Amino acid sequence: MVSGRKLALFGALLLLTGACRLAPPPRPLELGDTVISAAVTWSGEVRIRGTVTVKKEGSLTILPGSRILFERVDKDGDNIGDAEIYVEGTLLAQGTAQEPILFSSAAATPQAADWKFLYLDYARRAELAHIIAEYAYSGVQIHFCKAAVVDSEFRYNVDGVRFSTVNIEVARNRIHHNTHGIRYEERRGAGSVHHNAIVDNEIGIFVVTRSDDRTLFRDNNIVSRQYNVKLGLDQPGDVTFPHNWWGTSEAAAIRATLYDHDADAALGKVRTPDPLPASLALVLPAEK
Amino acid sequence: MKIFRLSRTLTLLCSVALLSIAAVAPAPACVGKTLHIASAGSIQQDILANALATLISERTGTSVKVDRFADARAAHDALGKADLDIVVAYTGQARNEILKKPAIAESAALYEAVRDEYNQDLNLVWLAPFGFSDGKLGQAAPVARKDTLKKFPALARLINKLGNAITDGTMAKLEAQVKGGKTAAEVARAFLKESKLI
Repeated sequence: MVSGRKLALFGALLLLTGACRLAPPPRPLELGDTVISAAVTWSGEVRIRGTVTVKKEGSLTILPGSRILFERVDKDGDNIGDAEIYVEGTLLAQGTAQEPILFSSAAATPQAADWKFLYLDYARRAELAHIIAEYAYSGVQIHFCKAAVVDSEFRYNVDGVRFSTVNIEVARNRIHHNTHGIRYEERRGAGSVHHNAIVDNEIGIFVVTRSDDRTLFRDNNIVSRQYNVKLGLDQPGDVTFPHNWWGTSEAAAIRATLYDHDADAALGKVRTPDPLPASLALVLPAEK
Repeated sequence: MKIFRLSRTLTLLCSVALLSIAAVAPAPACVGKTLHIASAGSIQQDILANALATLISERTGTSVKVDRFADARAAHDALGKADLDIVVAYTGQARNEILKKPAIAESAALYEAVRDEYNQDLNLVWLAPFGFSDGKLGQAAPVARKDTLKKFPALARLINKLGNAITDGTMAKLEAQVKGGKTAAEVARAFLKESKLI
């Protein structure tokens, strides 16, 4: 025999469970110009309307599955959104294959350069894994620090991944549908860029200036809409990209995808030794 | 009681975290200065401004914006106020309408005269003429602010690659393509690509 009290208790529990189910999702964290100078963790949805600066003594950890959305604000009218994350301290943005971290535009109809960039400048520590960065001026810009960018996706940006004066590893990323897939200025830095799909960008790799052939691009699929490798106006030195797939195995066809000394005698040569005969089977994050 | 203490500790931790997030002035990060190039309203101006913008942005990675003005005078005034970095000017028009000086018939002498006066009196630099001439307006050439050229030392060298690259016939063909429905940006890009400048 079930007593009336027990029934009432059971009913109350049922009501509580229902109430929990109907509870609204947590409100997104909304930030304007903001400084982080202690340990801060983000999760869920974060909407940014200005510059979020992680100071030297600060650290920002972004949990898997977080959605960081940048609102389009263009105060100086240069057609580049102003919202950005600027890191001088520590940034740990490590999603998972199932729950990547999204950095994107908050616009209903997003477009490249809606927000400025995720910018690492003299950062103490920077680890980016399983992130998706889209509709930025630069998906990520890394300068004057050591960093790893792995297992991530950079799409629909002006620059997918951009770096200078760094010690960097860029591996197992999908970098596609950007104006420049990877854009860099070596300036005595060095890097290893390997096992990436750098495809369907206007320019696959833009070597802007001051590169002394210390950044090794090897074992990538590089197939672009306009040029696979382009040298900037002030890149008189040669650069070498060994053992990559260029969308073709014919030497003349590969050469046609390079903008270098052949087009402008003031530029260096792009060398592509040991081109791969076929596309590499890469282990990449699933397309989301 | 334990739950109450835990809750107080959590509240304290959250407050510390929130206190560390304070509204302040933005950090000085930038994408590099955006260059502004004027088009003074005509199809020809649109093509030339877009050709310069595309050449600069594609070869150097610098962001460039084309700003449209009603006429050459408005563009020149914006250049003087440093709201712009580069305009496309015409030697005859510059001599008569901007400098208010009497005409010079000989084309090379006219170019040298306006170049020297702009340099001396206006801190503006005439770069190499494109190569074509537009009737009474004279030879067309890019004109840049001196401090822009100081900030971007390679700019003059790059822009001068367009020197003598556009004949009267080529300009007419490019304008016809825009009148035929293509955008000035498309026409300018195709021309640069064909000329192996990008």
